[in-house]
Amino acid sequence: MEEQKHNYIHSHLIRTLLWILGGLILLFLSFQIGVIAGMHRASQRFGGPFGYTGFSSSAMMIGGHGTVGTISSVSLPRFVLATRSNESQGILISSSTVIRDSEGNASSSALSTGEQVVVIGTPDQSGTIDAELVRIMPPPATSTPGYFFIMTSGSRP
Amino acid sequence: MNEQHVPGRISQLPTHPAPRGLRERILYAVAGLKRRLALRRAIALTMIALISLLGFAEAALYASQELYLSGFGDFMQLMFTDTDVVASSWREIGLSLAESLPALPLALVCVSLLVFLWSTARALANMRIIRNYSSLA
Repeated sequence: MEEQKHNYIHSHLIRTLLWILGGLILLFLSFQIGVIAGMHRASQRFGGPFGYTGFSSSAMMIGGHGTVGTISSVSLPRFVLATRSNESQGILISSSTVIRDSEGNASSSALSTGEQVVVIGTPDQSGTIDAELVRIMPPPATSTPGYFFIMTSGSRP
Repeated sequence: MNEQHVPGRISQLPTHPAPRGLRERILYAVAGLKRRLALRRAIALTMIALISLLGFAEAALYASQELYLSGFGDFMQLMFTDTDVVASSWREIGLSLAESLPALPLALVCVSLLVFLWSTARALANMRIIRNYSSLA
């Protein structure tokens, strides 16, 4: 009977999967502990934007090296981004900033309110990101009104 | 002195044959007990597997939400769409990926998956024991 038990719990595949998952858990948890410890030390040392605000990774890093969101206002060479967690993030562009859209390189005039962008750069003391790359993302696919209803009922409302 | 003639020794006790079917009855009783024990374990492990499956669904939803909010997927996407820029700004891209990685939600996904796999494997093993002892009993 013990041999049959071994067929399942000690099978090579299951055992390997369990070990991999255990390793990943340790990796993620140690990473998270490192992030929390780093944030705590940074907030004690510098204060300001490097505040640890909870367990949500999206809310943790204010003034990080990158951000994603929608442009809420433009006043070149600065613009303000509304992040997905509803926070405002200031972005500063310079002559060395690479601005791109889906067709290739673009100019700063392509930055307009409502555009979805990914910004990569270096945060300064105030939390503003000195952008190295601003990538204008293509607009999301338009959803048809009542699509869910069509899918479920099979008829247009 | 011959030991066989010492009165009161165990070897001198009268021997009786075991009742007919005693061995089988003992084996059946043991099999029944093992089957009941395996059944209890299988039920408990199945419950754990179901709960961990629900936990996995919740954790996966939480992780996908955090991946979206943190922009981790968008930073990953940049690595494939803007390879030349990423090569020149690899440090910032790497830091952005590290900062936006939702480690805790991903750890929760792994924990729930680990518990589900373990409990399912153990439940299956116990179900097999039940089946084997059912054929004996």
